[in-house]
Amino acid sequence: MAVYEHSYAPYTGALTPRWSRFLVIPRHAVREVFRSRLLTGTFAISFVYPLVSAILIYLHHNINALSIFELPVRALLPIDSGFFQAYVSTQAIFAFLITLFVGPALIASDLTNNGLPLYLARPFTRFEYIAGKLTVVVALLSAVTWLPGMLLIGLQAYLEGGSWLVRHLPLVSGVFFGSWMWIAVLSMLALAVSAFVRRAIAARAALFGAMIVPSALAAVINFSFRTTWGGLVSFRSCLDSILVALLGSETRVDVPAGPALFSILLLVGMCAGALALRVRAYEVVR
Amino acid sequence: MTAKSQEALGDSSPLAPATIGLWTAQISSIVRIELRRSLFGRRAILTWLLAVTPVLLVLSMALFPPTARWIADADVRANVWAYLFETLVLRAVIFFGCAWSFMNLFRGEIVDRSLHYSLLAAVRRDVLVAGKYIAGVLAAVSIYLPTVLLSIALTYLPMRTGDAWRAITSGGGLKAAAGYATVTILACVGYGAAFMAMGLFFRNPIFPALLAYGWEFINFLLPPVLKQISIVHFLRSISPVRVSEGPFAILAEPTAWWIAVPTLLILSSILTVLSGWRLRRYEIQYGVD
Repeated sequence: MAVYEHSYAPYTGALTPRWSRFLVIPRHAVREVFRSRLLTGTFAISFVYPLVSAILIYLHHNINALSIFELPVRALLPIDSGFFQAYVSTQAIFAFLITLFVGPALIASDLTNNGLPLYLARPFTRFEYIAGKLTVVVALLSAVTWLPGMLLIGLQAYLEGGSWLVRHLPLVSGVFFGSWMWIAVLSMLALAVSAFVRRAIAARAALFGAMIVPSALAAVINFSFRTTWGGLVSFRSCLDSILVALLGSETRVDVPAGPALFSILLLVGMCAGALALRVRAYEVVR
Repeated sequence: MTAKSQEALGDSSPLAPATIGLWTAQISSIVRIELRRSLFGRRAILTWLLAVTPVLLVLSMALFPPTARWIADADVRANVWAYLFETLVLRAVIFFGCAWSFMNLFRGEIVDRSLHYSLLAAVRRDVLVAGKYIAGVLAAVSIYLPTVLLSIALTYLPMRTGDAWRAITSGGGLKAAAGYATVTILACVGYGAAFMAMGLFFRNPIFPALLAYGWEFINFLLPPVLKQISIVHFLRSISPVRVSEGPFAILAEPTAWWIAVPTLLILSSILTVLSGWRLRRYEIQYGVD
C-alpha cells in the first residue's frame, strides 16, 4: 500500500504520567553510558576512597583490629570535619571525571544529528528534556558523592552512638549540600557546554578547559594583586569555600562563603540561560 | 603484477613523481588550508578568547597597579610576569589552547566526517601529517607569540617612556622578551606534537590529555629523573626567570639550553613521525570513531 493511502489515527494507548516522562531519557541513557569500559572502570575506582574511609571508621571502633595491625588509635585520622572535607573534595575529582565522560555527549549528539525535533514533537517539553538529561548526570554523580557520604556518616553514627550524630549535624548537611553543589555545577556546566559546542569531543575539551583555566587565572590574580578574591573566578575555589563553611572546618579558604555562593549561583544561572537558548526544536538559519 | 607491468603503470600514471619539490608544494597547500581554518574557523574562537586573557590581566595590572612597588621596582614586575607566564600562559593557555587546536587537526575532521577527502587526495599520509602539524604550529605561534610580547610590553606601561625604553634596551628587557618568545614557540612545538599524536592514537584524546596535565602539574613533586619525562621541565629550564615551586618542591638542576632545546625538537619530531606512521595505517570508521 502506498504511503499516501495510509490513514492515521491518534494514539489511544496509555500515556506515561506527566511527572515521570523525563525519566524515559535516563532509562535509555544509563544503559548506553555503561557500554564504555573506561567509564565503568572509572566509576568502579571512584568507590575506592569511600571504601578506605569506611575501613578507617571501622578501625577507629575496633580495638581487636587495631591490636592485630599494631596500630595506635592516635595514628589514625580523626573522624571530624576535615575527614569529610577530604572525602567530598576527593569524590569531586571522580565526579568531574565521570562528568567528562558522560555530560558532553548528552545534548551534543542530539543537536548534531537534528534529534531534538524527534523529542519535542512528542508530548515532551523542553524542560522535561533538560531534566531528563540532567537526571543522567545527577544520578551517576550522586552515586559517587553524597550517597556513599551518607553511608559513611551512618556507619560512624552507628559505631559511635546516636549522640555523635546529634553533635555533628553540620557534618551531615555539609556532606549532603556540599556534594549537591558540586553536582549542580558540574551537571549544568556539562550540559551547557554540550549544547553550545555541539561536538562531544570538543565539549569534553571545553569542559576540561573550564576546570583548569579559571583555577590558573585565580592563582595569578591572587599573586599579582596580593589578594584572595581571585578565587571568585574559579568555581573550584568557590565550591571549596562553601564546603568549608558548611562543614564548619577551619581550613583557610580564598573567598568568604557568601560571595562564593553568589558566584556559583551566577554560573549555574548562566548555564541554565545557555540551555534555554540552545535547546530548541528548530533553529532558524537566515 | 609483474615488475614490468608495475613500471609501465608507473610511467602512465597521472601522479607526479614523489620528490621533495612535490612534497613541499603539497605541504604548502595543506598549510594554507589549515592555517585559514585554525586562525579564522569557528573552533578558533576559543583559542582567541584564551589568548586575550593574559593580555587583559596585564592591562588591568598596568591600569590599576596592585602596589606602588609594581610601578617602581622592575624586579617585582619581572617576578609577577614570570609567575603569570608560567602559571597562566604556559600551563593553562598554551597547554589547553594547543590541546584544543592540535587534537582537532585530525580528530575534528573525523568527528565532522570530512577526513576521507584529505585521505583520498593524491598526497602521502605522512606529508598530510607534516602539513597539518606545520599549520598548527604556525597558527599557535601566531596567536600566542603576540599575546606574550604584548603582555610583556604592557608591563612597562606604568613607567615613563624614557625609563621604559632604558629598561627594555639596557635593562635586559629585550633579552628576557626573546627568552619568553623562545619558550612560547617551543611550547607550541612540543605540546602541539604531543596533542596531535594523542588525537590520532586515542578515540577519546581528552583523557590522555588530562593525564598529561596531571603529570605536568605534579612535575615539581617528581624526582629529578622523572622530571625529564615532561615538556614543562625543559620549558622551565630555558625560561628567563625561574619561579619558585613552593616548599614541597623537589629541587632539580635546570637542563642546559643546548640540551633542552634540541631535546624538545627531537621529541616533537619523533611524535610527528609516530603520528605519520599511525595515519598510514589508519582506517576510518566514522560510525565507530
